[in-house]
Amino acid sequence: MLVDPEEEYSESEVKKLRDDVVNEGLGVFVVGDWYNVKQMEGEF
Amino acid sequence: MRFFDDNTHSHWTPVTGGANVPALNDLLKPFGFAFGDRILNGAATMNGQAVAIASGANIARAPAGAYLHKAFIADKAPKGAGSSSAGGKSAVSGGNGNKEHAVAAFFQAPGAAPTDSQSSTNANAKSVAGRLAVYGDSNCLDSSHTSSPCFPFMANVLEFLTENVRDTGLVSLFLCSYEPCD
Repeated sequence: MLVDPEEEYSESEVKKLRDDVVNEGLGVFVVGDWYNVKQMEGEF
Repeated sequence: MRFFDDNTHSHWTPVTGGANVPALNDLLKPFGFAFGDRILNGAATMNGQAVAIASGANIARAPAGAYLHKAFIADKAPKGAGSSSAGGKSAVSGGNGNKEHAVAAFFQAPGAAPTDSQSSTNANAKSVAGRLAVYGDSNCLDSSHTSSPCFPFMANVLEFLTENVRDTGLVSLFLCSYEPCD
């Protein structure tokens, strides 16, 4: 489970996750949250 | 969201919003998924149970074969914050001005994935690909923000991911048959 992560991912991490899902049968639950540039730059 | 910082006496702008969506989209790109920049607020009904969405991202892109769940839900993003990825086809108005947005997606990754994945005749067990679940709101799963029970929903998601349980209502409808699908 990846819930609201903040860090960037390296190319090798992206590739490993993809390979583990496709080739190893890994199940992944990705939970995000809002991300809107105008909202971040606004006063509120 | 800018705020005045006492120490530096200047206005700061947060580096990320609720979640680092650009990083997550990098991670999801090989699968064909992407979160959008909507800020969804309301509730979605999945498998007959309402799941609260406090400040969720929409799902802007999903691969063919994904099961998409859509909901008529409010969008709190600033007006004119044109989304390059989330506009267009999703702009179907509901009864109260809410628009339909994709809020969750479930996906069997491609690969040599037979429908009877438990079959023991499949000698190469490693050829069975895994599954992905993508959901745009973490408040539901955060014990400090949760406003309604969503652990039953999460339990269904985990059943799908780990045991490929298909009768929880998450993967029986809304098949995305084209690509990109939003």
